[in-house]
Amino acid sequence: MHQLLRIVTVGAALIVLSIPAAAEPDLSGIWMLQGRSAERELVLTMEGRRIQNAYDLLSDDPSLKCVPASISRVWANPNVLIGIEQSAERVFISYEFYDLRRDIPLSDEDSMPDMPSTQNVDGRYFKEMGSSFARYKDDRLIIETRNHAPGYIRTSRGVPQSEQSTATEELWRDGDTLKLTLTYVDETLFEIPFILDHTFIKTDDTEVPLYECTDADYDWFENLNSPQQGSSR
Amino acid sequence: MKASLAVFLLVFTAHYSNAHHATVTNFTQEVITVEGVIEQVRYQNPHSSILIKHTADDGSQKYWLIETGAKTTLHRKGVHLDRLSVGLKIQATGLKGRREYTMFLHEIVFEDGSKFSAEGVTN
Repeated sequence: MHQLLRIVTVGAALIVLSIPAAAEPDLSGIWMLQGRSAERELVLTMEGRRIQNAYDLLSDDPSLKCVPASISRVWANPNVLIGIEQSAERVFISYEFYDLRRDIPLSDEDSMPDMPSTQNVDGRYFKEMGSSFARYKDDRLIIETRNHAPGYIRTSRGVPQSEQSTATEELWRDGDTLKLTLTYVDETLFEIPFILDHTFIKTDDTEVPLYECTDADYDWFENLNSPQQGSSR
Repeated sequence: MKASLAVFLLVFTAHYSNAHHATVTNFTQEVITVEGVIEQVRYQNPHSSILIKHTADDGSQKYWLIETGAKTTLHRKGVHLDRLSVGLKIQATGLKGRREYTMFLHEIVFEDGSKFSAEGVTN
């Protein structure tokens, strides 16, 4: 009986050892949002509602000045490419939208850089995108982001982010698609974590082209129709 | 809005519900048509646009900004603005903007009756 038990135990141990550990996911490539990002339940605090109610899309949207309003806003833009490169020390994400380059060390929070992790190709840093560090867990890449400047997680409806906001991005492969779940926690703004889900498809592109954003300045247009311009006769 | 301006209120169809958030929120669900002469074409990111000058029956003039998708989106969808030359008289149909005298383009009809469509371009 003891002999049989020993054989079973050793056999079970060999089976366990023969199962390969979950490999780091290969997320490298150039991706594009498929469909639209989906959001789960949004429950704002009183302060969150106050900021949202004061938001005026036509003047407060940072996108009007080619400024990324948040990590969420950048991931959720349709029809633009996103390149991901992985190395032993870091993850590098190139967003076509606003020509953003996000350099994320594989480290813990203690090694998180003080500087924002994101800058555009002209070298301008964006604190709205926060400072990030990353790690692999099972088949997922986990990116943690802190030190945000106030911004908007959803510019269409003025869903805010604050300096207290923390963002956790979980990225993984699902067949030919890339999945992203983005979770925002901020007790000053949300009663429960605010979670958004995204799916990306791999493209045949080999590089992320330049976007060259132009400020959406409407003043010149509104001046055309102002009485001082004499456009109305 | 001037009475002479051709404005047609149409039923908002499910098609437009697929539009990008920013498009939905920057523009109303009211479909309008405006005639005018092209003054400028901007092919750029994040929004391309066509500036037209509309002249009402009483001679008064207003500029309209006809907005459409990003240059990158138009390019990827095979939509080119080359045909839209300054000086051409057009009739543009699209969603009325929340800003005065703005529109999100669906279709342009040229004087010869030919059409240019930007439907499906959301951002």
